[in-house]
Amino acid sequence: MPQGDHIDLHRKRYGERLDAEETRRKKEARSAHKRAEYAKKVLGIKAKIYAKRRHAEKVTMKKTIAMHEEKGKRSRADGDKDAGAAVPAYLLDREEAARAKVLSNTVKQKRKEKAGKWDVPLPKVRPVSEQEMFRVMSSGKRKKKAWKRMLTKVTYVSPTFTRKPPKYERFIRPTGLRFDKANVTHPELKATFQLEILGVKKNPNGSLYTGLGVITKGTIIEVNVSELGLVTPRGKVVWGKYAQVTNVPENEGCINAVLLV
Amino acid sequence: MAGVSIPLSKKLKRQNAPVRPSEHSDVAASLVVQLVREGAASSGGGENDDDAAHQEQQRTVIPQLDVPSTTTPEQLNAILNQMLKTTEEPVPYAFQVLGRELNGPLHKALAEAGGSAASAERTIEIKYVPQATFRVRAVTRCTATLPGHKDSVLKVSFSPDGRALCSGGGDCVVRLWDLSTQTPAEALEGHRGWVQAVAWSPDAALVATAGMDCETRVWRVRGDGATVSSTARRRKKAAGITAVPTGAEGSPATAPANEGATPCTVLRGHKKSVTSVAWRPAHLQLPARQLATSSRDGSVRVWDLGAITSQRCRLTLTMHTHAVTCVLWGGQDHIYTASRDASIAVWDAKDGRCLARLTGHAHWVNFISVSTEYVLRTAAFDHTGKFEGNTHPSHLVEDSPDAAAAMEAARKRYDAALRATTCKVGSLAEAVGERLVSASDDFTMFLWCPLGASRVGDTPQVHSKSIARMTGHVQLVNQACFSPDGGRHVASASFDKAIRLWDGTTGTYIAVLRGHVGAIYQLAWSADSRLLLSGSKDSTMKVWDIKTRRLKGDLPGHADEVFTCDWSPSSDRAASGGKDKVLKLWSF
Repeated sequence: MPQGDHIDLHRKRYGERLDAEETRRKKEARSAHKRAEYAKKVLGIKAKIYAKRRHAEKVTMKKTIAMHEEKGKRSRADGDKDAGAAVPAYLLDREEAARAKVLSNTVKQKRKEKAGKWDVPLPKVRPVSEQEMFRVMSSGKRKKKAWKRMLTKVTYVSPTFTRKPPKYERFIRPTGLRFDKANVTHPELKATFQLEILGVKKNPNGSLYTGLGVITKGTIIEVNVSELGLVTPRGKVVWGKYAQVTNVPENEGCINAVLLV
Repeated sequence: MAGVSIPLSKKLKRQNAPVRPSEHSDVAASLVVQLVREGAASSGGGENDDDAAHQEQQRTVIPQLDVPSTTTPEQLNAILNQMLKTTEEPVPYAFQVLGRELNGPLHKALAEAGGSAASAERTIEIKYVPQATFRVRAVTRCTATLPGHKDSVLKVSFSPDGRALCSGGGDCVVRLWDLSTQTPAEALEGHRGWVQAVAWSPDAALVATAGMDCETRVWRVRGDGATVSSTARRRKKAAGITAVPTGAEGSPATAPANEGATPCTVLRGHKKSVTSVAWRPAHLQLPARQLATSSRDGSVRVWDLGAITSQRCRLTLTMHTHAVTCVLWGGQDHIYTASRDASIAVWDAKDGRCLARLTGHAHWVNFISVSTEYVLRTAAFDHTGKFEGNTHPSHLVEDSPDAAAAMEAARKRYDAALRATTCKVGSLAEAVGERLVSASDDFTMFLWCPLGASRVGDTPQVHSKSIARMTGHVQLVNQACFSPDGGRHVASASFDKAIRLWDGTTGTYIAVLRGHVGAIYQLAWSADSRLLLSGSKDSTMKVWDIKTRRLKGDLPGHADEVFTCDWSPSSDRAASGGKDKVLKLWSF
């Protein structure tokens, strides 16, 4: 016999306190603050567990909201199946995989490249100072030499890179901040793919950073698009294409980019 | 030994610098060969000259020959032409040794096919196949880019004489193009849905278009691609071209009030979109009046344009339980249909009886092709688009002697194509009959001979078992086409980016043609069966050489998927259209 029934029973028999509703509302309203306080305070493994549980809760919540939003929408009627690009009879009723447009503007792109100007989604970026980009590391037996620099931003290091002897290495690119994949959005397809990074084409903060492979917001990276099935006008598969980073990778822990087409 | 040595001419000797075969392989220096004609049918009732000549060639017994093992196909060709002495013009032949195409010296081919079997003691059988006496030049460049369609171009089709081009697009407009000036000739409006099927009547006078709006429209077209609609008539009159009434041919009484009201005949009846259109072959009826349409509602309708409006739908063939993807009208007055219910049906076009139901596929059947397709399409026109007769077929009047002559010419071409090849089906070792190849979503193809007879003219037997199942593709097969030489080869286009080449009589695999980087949508053979054109999702078209099985040329230019391509029956150009909304003409 469950032990908690007597509260319910009591409520049913005698009703609640008059301010019970108000108290409940207040408690509910306060709960977000309480949770935040706890989240800030908690440390160690408990923090990890808590964050994970909270994340799962948020995902469920978002899914539920999305489902509710879907409910109101009217589904497309059968009659206007014609809508969209016309296809021959042999392609009717076939699910078309998300496909990419042919790159018809390669000539234009080349011309732009020549002029050294990029018509990119993010034309201006916040300049990053050297102090922010590097952390000075002291070295030497007495730790008084200060010519070593450690990068504080996300970097791309090509798989063929071999380190110099650590003693003489001027720039250290921490392994924790190395990335080899980026989430690239095709602007016309409105689809996002996780693609391999092939290299850093240009970092707007300077050629030094380009050379080091630093990826900050606005950086142009080259990604491997072979699985997207893009083809050139001559019918060759496009392998590498440029994309611009749209987020702040060092803050978010991932690289989001938009494909330049 | 009964062998006869034929001395090779000096020139021929020079052509092929003597290679010591013994250094290369263990094949003997001299070989005894027997030349045999590859699978042609013995003719049934051969009355005319053509048949007689054919029989003559059949009877010619070629003695065994002693040839050096360095003999090349060119040298064999010269020998064979000398021995057969059939025509003044030398006929090119292709040779097969032990089931393989002979491309180099004989000893090499033998070494490849297991050389130890060949020795001076054994007779080697070499099969020869006559090739087209004309050659089609490969298209290499884009001569015109014609904008006009407001949406994707879904189908392009040359008229049987190659003088006119018609295209249907997603913008619900059918367009005719002037090929001599490479300009738009006319836009035919009326459809209310995408135009997905365009078919020319075999007399080049009518063009039937159909699509998503469930109707079929038949437009009357004259000469180099001008219709005679009410507006156009005025224009053409100014240009000095006489107009003809629209509507059903040869029946002015039933022709719809031809002064402007109806620019075309509209055939209504299908409940869902029409997928393909087939005309009755010219050797059965001229001028063209009957056509069959297949629809996604699972039915096939046969229309007679000569009847009054309410009786135009002559037959409705219903048996398929799913969309019908393709309809063909065979030369023996049979209708072949392929459906997404994974079956193929053969119907009698006279009374709509279902003669056979061919099953075997495990998924949708996408396409069927018949071995005589090219001659059914071109009918009385030869490979240059010329017609030997007094009246151009598009001007024929019913029951006139000229019409009979044209029908006879078409029949002659059809019979020649039918007789060109035989197949082994059921109990018949050398069956004569139209073969079908079906391409399906289950990644396979089947070769059928649904109605084969032992001789030309005999009553055919129904064979609902296939000749062969052709496997090899790793994605769905979208199209499979017989070569125009009576179907000696089959080429198949698949979404796995490869074209595969098959023997058209036995269904054995020959070669794979790789090069495209996207799914291949459509194929088109050249009239001489030596070249193949393919259009692909990767925005290019490619020309393939069938003999060497290599890429002959790349045709880039489209900015998006190529949905349709066609090679003119008069061999002088090709056309293509696709998602980039332009129509491109290609030439050499």
